[in-house]
Amino acid sequence: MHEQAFAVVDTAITAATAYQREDLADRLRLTRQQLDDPTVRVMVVGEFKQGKSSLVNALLNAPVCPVDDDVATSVPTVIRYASEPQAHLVRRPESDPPGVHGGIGADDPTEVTDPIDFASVPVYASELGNPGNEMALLAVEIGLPRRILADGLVVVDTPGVGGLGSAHTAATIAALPSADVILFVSDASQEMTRTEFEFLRAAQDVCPVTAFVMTKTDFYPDWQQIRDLNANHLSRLANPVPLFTTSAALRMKAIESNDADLNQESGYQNLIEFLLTTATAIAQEATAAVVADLRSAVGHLKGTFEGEKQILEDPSQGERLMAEFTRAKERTNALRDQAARWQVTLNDGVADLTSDFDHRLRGRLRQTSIEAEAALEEQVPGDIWDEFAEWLRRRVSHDLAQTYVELARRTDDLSQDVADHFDDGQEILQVRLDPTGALSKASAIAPRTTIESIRAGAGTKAMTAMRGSYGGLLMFGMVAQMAGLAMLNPATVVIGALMGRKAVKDDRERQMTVQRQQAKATARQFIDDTGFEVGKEMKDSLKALHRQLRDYYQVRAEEMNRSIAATMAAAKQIMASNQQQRDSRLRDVKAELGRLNGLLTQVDALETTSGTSDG
Amino acid sequence: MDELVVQVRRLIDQAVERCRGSVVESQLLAVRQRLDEPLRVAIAGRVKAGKSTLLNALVGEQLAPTDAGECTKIVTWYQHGPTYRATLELVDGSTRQAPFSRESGAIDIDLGDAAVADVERIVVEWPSQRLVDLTLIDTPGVASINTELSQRALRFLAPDDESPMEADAVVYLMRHMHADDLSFLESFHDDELANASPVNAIGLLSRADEVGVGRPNAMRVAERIATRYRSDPKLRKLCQTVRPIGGLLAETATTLTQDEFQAMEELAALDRKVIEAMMLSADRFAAESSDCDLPPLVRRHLLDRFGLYGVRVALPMIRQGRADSAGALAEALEAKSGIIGLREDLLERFASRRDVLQARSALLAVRRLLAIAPPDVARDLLPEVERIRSGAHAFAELQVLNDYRRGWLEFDESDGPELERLLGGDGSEPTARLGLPPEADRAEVRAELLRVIDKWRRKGEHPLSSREVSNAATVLVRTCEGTLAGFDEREKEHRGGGTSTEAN
Repeated sequence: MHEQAFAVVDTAITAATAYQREDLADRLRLTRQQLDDPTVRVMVVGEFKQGKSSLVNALLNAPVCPVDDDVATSVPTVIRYASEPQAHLVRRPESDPPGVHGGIGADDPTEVTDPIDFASVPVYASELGNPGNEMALLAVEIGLPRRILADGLVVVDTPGVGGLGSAHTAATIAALPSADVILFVSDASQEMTRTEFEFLRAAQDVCPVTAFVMTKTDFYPDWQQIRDLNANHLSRLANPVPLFTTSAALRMKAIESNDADLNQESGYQNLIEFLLTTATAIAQEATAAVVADLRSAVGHLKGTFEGEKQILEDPSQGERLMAEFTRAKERTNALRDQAARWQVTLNDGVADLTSDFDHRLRGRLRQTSIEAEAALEEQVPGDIWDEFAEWLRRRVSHDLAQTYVELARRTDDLSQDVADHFDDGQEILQVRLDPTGALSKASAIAPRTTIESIRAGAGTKAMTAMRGSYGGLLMFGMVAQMAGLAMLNPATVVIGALMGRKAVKDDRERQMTVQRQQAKATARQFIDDTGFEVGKEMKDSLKALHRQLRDYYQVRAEEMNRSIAATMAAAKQIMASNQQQRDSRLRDVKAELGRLNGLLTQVDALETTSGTSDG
Repeated sequence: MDELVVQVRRLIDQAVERCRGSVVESQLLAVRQRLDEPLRVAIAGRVKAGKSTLLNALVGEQLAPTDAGECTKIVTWYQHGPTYRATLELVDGSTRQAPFSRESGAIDIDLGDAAVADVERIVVEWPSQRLVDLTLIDTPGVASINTELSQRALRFLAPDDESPMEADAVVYLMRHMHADDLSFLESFHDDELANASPVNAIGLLSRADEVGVGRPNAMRVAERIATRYRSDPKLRKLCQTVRPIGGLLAETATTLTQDEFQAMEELAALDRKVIEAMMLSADRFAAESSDCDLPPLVRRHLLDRFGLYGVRVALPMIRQGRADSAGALAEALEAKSGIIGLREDLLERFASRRDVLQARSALLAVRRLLAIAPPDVARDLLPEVERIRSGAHAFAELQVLNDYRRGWLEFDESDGPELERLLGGDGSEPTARLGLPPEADRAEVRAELLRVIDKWRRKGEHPLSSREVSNAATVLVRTCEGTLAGFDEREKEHRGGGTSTEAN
């Protein structure tokens, strides 16, 4: 079906070029690029030691992900199709400072890859050889000749979340938005915990297809009961989440002994089916977008000929039609104008978003500032500084994420409002705020000074743990949710729980006052800095969004204008020509229309065949 | 050490005397009563960490109900008592007897018309030898999907600043270390007096038999993981030690029946091929089978009791004749489960510090009560509270241990472990404190004590030592001198052929 789609798009491009509509041809070329990337990314996530790597290995029937009873995965492993088994390390170029990354396995031209020996993957991918990912790898990429991967399925094994090092959690969550399917893994030893539930809920926000996989069913006699409990919890989520029960041990055994019954028992059959069906559905969605683009382009081409045909068939109507075209031309001219109503709507909308964003962020940061100071008032700053600084970073990130999420909901509305000004109002640009800039800024700012600890001799720890590990914006809110679900409570409670209660010693009172002032000033400074830098970045991304929307609808207006102009030019020519010329032109036009209708039929066929012939 | 409890008791008596008739009186009496009660150990952890299972293993009876789903919903106290009795204490302060039944061992308490939310706690009294020295408290899981239950556990274990913790010590169960566990452990860092925390908490790597999904080396791997956690600085400052425990194995070992043993023997006698096919999965193990005469229900029961791992380790023991009776199998499984070490920890580490911990709790409670007592009483007695607090060497020791655990003391590598040892970390015998073998001869012990005293005295007086280190050194010197005095005392009795009345 893929070749078919390419063929149709190519025909449409040729047609657009032939009718001197380079603008439409350009748009179709973009469409063609989208078709070129059939990847469906399946991300396997969950708490550590739940059997994620085993799941991936059993799924692909290859020991690609390191599995150990103690040592956990520390780097994401990306597995895609290749004709020969191969492995690569993906890292940032040396010169590039650690900053933001678009997501695991995203095709970022700034990444460098080094081929490695297939057998040495565990050294790089697990805590054993690469504790805490000290090699600063972005991912380990593996190519495998497996049929299940052949249609563009990419499986990503991630480090577990919720472990002692929060860096893993951050890296995993950062990558979630790049996933097409999330497989959430939790073993059958117990029903899902609150942390897991919250994670799943957050994951649903960034990824439309989420499935729950319950592993190790061979080992836990009560797995059916756990499954029912989990199903019950899942039913409380906004979107339906299918639940699968699997046993990697049984699957491996089944493959080894070629035992179909055992394979059925392992539960993998269902999971694989689900993945393939989902992949097909996602491919279908992509096709639908392509079909919509094609219809729109062909519609433009047809519109010109149809206008011509009307005049040719009934020249007496010529004057009336001409007047109609002129009115349409005026309308499209107005759309092209700087002062067009959609431009006003857009400008106003963006201005509203900007000021609203500013207001909300400032309000949040102010609250954070108040809570931070209250917390410092109650604690010994030197004792809690490390934890406090981390809390503050997370809290500020959370503020930012929260604001972003609110804004993101409104950008689509804005796009719709603008689209309503156009005649059809059908083609709406789905836009997304790009938060990466703001995030990199946010993660680059660290509290400026570290409060000297008053405990004797203990050195001060640099606040670098969290730096550079952030990627996607939404993760911030999620990190916050993962961090003990505490962010929604008053800060004092959180910090009290986070840092324990440590008493104030009398003889340290004076020292403490000085330290407290210093700590508060630092916290305030940090919040101010973040507010300033992030505010600027967020405004920049709003501007980028503004440009994106404007350019898109400008081009739409341009296309409509050219279509109507072409129609009018043709009409004028017809009015000036004699009957014989008109007859021959009518034949031509009918033939052209026939060809375009043929093309449309092909486009329609794409829609109906997609999915059935795929897979 | 008794001295300390005596002082605290005297203080409470004084306070009671002065507060007669006021609301504080009954509360003070309760505090005094607590001094005479056994050590209270709370069992805490995330949901499904195996808290109730461990409790059963410690009591040696299947008391607390366990289930695959979340089970413990109310804080439940298990304490020694003359008769079997369950009492509900409701949120409104009233109490009532609750009827209960025992279903397949576990107690099923009938709450009657009281909703779970109305019940503050349940007190189960049980005539069990194992509960004489320890009162065990089962708590709902932390990070439960049911927030209300989690809150209950937190409220109980880490009450607000004003009230002291009701448990004297905490056993914290975790599976693999999770960020939730860490913040929870941090949250019950007790408040000020002696800043105690690491000293009254033990971390347990629970369900250790499930590490590696039941491979035979699970317990060894678990030990390796526990060792790693022990040396993790974040955990070190939160609990005394971390040890692996196979709760289910321990529970089954302490409650193994003859019938169960016979069923296991039958399994062990099966053909290798047959049993291996059955062991592929829990489902297959309990499925209908023509190769095995044991009814599926019995096999299912064995699975519930042993787990796949338990069956996997028990069968070779029986086959090789290492476990030829129910008793022998129980013993072998108990040894494997790690429960023996835990019992030692509780009875030695905690129980030997019991008086200090209890006196500490009591003192805290008194101080809190004095705040609401008549002003003149508070004025007269508060200084006494402070005097006991600052005068008690045992508190000073706790303080030093905590300072060290928290990393507040800058030491040479070897000094830290020595400090813990000297303060009784490995046992309170002089040889244990000095790290000498128990059979070391007296002269050697004495010489070593003197050497250690000298070393720490010099450290304490050294101009470059920080104030914290000087303090710690002074406390250690006093501890060692006390040990020396006790040692000499005993020596004298020994030589004088005195009866076996041991000093202290």
